[in-house]
Amino acid sequence: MKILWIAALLLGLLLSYAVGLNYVLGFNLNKSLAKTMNPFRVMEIAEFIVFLVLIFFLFLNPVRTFFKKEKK
Amino acid sequence: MEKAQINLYQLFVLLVLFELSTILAPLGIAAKQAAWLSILIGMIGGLVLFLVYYRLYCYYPDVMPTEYMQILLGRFLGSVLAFLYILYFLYLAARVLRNFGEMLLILAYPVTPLFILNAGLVVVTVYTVRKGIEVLARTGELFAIVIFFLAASSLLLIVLTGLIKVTNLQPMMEVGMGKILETAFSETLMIPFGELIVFTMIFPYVNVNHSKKLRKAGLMAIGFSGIVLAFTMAINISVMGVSIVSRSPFPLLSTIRSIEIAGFLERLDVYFMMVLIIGGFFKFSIILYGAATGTADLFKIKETSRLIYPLGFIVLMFSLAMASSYPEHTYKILHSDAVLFTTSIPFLVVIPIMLLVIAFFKNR
Repeated sequence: MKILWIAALLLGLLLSYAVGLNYVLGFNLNKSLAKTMNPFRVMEIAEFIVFLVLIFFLFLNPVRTFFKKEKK
Repeated sequence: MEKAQINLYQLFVLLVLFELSTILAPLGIAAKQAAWLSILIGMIGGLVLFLVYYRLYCYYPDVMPTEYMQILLGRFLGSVLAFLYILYFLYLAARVLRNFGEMLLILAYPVTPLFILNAGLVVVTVYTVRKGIEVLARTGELFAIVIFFLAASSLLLIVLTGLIKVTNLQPMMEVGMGKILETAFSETLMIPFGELIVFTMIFPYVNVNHSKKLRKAGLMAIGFSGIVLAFTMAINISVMGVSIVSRSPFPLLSTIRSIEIAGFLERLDVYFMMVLIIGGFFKFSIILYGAATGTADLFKIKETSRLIYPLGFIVLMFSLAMASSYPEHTYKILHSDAVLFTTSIPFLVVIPIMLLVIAFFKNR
């Protein structure tokens, strides 16, 4: 689980940097947020399925480790 | 830290493959006909930066930069700086991934979503990087031969076709020495030579018996790749002229496309594709490896391999979010002062020099 928290923190900071950079380049905050999130809003079905598969594998290992520890 | 060792030749190959992956981009084209000169000046700056990174490694040969930052600056400040470097490596990895995806999209897969192309490279890279630095280095040895063969044969074909017009390189100093120096220090020094800071994460893995010769191998690799990059840019300009090169996103592709021998040996786009995929793969893998080992060291995670997939996923997400189009992406990399002054200059030049000064006074 620790790894997932680290990953979430890093992703959050990187996305904030992307929003901040758009802001510095002259877009207002709403537009900067929209520009950063836009690629995830307009996904085709095939893309979305691959995205879900990748997320599934992201959580698979930590959840498995968690249940192994619970059993012990 | 993973228990692994690489030898000098493997380090040399990784350095060269890392540098040569930028061969596809119009490096230093703001200097027009003197683009090759700005690359060579950038290379000299790159050699100096490499010596800074090497001296830091010499002070602390057995530990990762994330650790010696804490020794030099204290636990809190050092940890914060190490964390910022990890973020910078992830940003760099996302930039390389985005470039790779966009190039494939424009060149060969116009209707495939960018996400799918980027995800393909991430999956392959995560698999390789999980196997460790030794596997990556040995793969590099194999692919270096392919790259050298491609480079030699494409040069031979360009010369045989008679496309090179040296007059296209004149007047050499059209933009003036000031602009050439500005291009060298704001563009070519940072990309690709400054990016070698990622190798500070790999230096501790070089075989102890070879570590004294590391400087020589590094300088040779940078010198060799700098000369190849400058030569390639000069060839691009001499074949197509500076006007076309400055408007083309991938000048090397246009040069390769113009090869035509005896009416049947033509459309050698596959050369470009191979360099793109091999170069992109190695550059992305090395940066991801650097980010993963740094994160594992900073957050005290024993198995680095468990970190690779989550970091690969983050990079994939960020590569899509960092820009809404390819022109915006290239603008942010090359022409945005915000990027230059928040990432490139501090992380590649200012902080390493500052750390070296502190290390010098601490170890006097």
